[in-house]
Amino acid sequence: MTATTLAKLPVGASARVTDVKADPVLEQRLLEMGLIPGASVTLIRIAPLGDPMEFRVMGYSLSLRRNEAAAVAIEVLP
Amino acid sequence: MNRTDRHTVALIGNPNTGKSSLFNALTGARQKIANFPGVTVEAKLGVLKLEHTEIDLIDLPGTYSLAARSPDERVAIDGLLGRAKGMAKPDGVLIVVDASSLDRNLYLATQVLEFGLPTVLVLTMVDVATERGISIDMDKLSAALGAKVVAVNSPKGENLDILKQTLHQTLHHPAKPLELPYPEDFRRGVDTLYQQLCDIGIKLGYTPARPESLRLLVDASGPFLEECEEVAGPEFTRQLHEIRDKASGGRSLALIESTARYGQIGQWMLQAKRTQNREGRTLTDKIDAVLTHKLWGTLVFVLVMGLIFQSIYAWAGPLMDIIDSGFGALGDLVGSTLADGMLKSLIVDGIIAGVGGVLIFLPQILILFLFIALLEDIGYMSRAAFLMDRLMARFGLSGRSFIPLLSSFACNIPGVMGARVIEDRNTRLTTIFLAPFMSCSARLPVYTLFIAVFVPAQKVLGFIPLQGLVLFAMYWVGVLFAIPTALVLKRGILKSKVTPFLMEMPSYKMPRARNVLRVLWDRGGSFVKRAGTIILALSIVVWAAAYFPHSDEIEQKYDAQLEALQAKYEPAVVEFEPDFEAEPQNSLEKIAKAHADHEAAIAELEEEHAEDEEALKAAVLEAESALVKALDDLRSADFETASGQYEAWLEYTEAASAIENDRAGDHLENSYLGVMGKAIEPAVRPLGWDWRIGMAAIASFPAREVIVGTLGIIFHLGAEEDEESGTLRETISNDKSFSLATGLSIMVFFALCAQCAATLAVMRRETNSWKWPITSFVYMTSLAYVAALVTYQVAHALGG
Amino acid sequence: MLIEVAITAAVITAAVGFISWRVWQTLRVSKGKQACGGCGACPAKTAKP
Repeated sequence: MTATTLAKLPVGASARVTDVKADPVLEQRLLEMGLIPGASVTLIRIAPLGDPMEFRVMGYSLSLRRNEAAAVAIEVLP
Repeated sequence: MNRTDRHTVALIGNPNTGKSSLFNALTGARQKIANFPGVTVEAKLGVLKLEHTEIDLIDLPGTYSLAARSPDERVAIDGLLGRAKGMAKPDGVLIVVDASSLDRNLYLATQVLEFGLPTVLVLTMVDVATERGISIDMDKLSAALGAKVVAVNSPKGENLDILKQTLHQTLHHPAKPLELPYPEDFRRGVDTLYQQLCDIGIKLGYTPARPESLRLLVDASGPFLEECEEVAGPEFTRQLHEIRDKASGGRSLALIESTARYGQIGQWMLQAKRTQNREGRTLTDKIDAVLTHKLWGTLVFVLVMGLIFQSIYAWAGPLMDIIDSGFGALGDLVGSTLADGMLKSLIVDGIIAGVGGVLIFLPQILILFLFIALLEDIGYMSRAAFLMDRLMARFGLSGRSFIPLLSSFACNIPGVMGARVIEDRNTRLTTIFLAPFMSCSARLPVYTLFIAVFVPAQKVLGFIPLQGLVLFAMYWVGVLFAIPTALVLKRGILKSKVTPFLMEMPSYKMPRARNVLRVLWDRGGSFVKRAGTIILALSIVVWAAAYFPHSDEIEQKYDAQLEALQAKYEPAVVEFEPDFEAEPQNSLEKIAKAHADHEAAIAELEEEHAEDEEALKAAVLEAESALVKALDDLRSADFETASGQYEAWLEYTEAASAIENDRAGDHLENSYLGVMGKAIEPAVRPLGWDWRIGMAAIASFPAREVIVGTLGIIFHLGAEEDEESGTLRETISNDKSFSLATGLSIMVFFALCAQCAATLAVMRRETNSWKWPITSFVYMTSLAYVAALVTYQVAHALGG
Repeated sequence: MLIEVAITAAVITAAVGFISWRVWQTLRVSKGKQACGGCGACPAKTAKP
């Protein structure tokens, strides 16, 4: 298990959220959308221009920009 | 009906849950449903009829949370507490919950349940959930939540009656607020803050609800906090920080709140939800694998956009011809019933030319909206935002700006209003400022008119129609000017941090014909209504300005010229009025008829052999020899005299119609509109415009599409009527003062100008200051002027 | 002839009146007293009591 952020997750890989640290507004939104510590996340795809990224979390698809994904600390699941 | 029998119920839920669809099914109200976050900006009201009672149903905007960081998000809380203007306080709530992503949907539900209103939880998309292997035990869910749960399928109308009954029963039972297991410090913080809030309640002008103190504790910013700080002063702010410090215990308050909620939801789900792991991808995944693919996704995006613009041309043509000939027939009918004069001119040159000239574009507007409605309903719009966000970010905007900007292509007003979903003030202002640069549907008539006149209907590379291509390019003009504008704004006066993008990608859905047809009906109806009201009124005023004073002096001058002309010819020539329907009686009539038949035959041949020049030449030669033969057959005693009379008649009618044209032109130039136009002509001359176009542009300030009607009126009045005056399109293509360069310069001007009073008014309201609409008008008008100037001068120099 | 002038004058007066009314309404919108600018693109009606 490696600790990193969602922004560095390879396509198709899954991870567990360990912490969310960002400015208050973004942090609250990320948490509300289900990216709470302990939640598992999968990177489905990256947009053709390299940004944003589409994740599956809590059974739905969420699209985040790379810099937003970087606010979410994760440990990659094997 | 007893007052106590009337209830108000709020409908709340996440975006894309089928909330609006349920609202429609329950109330039958007419409104739009879109499969995209943030479309429902204003609350809607409908009446739900039950057996013994009526319920006012408030459809609150879709939201993921009650945390209000922007005014738009505040609507949900205000709606729940009955604070919105003209709304009663709800005595019950329907929470709409998407069964296929139950956990996230319940987050909002826990917030709403804390208000303690009688609540029914409505499960939608159960079929999608089942497809994904999710099964929900509704009894256990209901027991856990302490609220009734009903699963419905609103498109099919399933279980709606059960929902109505359940709601009715629920309303008569008081409910308890939901208690969540927050940490002790946090709970104490909420309590302390609630005391404070009650103390300042008088200054706020309303009694705050307990859950609002939780919001005030957690939310770092937002309209509620600003309001409290404003009325309660710095002492309140200081205490708030103290309470927050105590409640947080060094952790993030938002984290405490969300883990408490999701923790509780997780426990409920253990009891009430079973997930069978179904391997294999859902249909949405498979579609997205193509539609958001690097190559295929981009290709589809470009193709879809191209298809929309192309079909506006290809499909609308036949329908437009029908409308066109309808108005032509109407004009002829009125023309033949009424005597020449003021009233006939008002109806034919004013109303029919003005309103008909705008209404003819109805098919094109319907096709544009058909595509927008389809794409929204399917769920493609959020994929478009996903594809485009990187590009938008480069200009300092967000994928969220993409939604308002895209809908600005339909109409700038919802674009300006849609910018409310953007939390960051500076990004919001930038988006509002850029919205009018998007070519709205009111510009479409201007583009299509001038493209039809000046751009040949030929194909590029053998298959891409040139006209569609030019239209596509016109839509890019606005975008191209919006980009540097955005960069300047974001780097300069409206600098801000990058704003959150964060968007749900909803599952694809089959478009529902009823939804799409409803959108078409509404949009088409409002366009026709506009043409029948404001455009009709403006047409009349423009006609009046272009018709009066209509001085007797000018009348007498041309009457005298006409008399002088008539004196030169014998009465038989002057009084000759051939009627080609009737059987010719004398030689003159026979000769005239032979010529008229010949002309009709030639016109027919030209149409028949439009593609083949050689065949046309041969056919024309044949027709000419037929004419010679027909005339030969008419040879009789008075043939020579009659022939001479016919020639004289041709000469006379030409001279007479030239006088009538001069008369009409003279009247127009001396009309109020003409005098004003002449005064401003020096200003528009460099754009390649004459005074008529200049006046038409100014007269269309209230609404852009009016220019088409105004030009129709001016050209109708400026030319004497005859059977061949035809459509505005033909008139313009025959007019010497119009060239390709002029046409391009008009199109560019209208692509960039801010000629829409309604948009400017909405801008004033959304920004709460005249600064923005005035800046927008001055900036866009000067930009439009300069761009049109450059366009004309360059095109003219290149020989256009 | 007189009737013609009368009808035309009435029509023009009505048109001018209608436009003034719309201008007044638009100004009301800009002050936030009405929900919508009236482009008609959004069929959503704001709630009325």
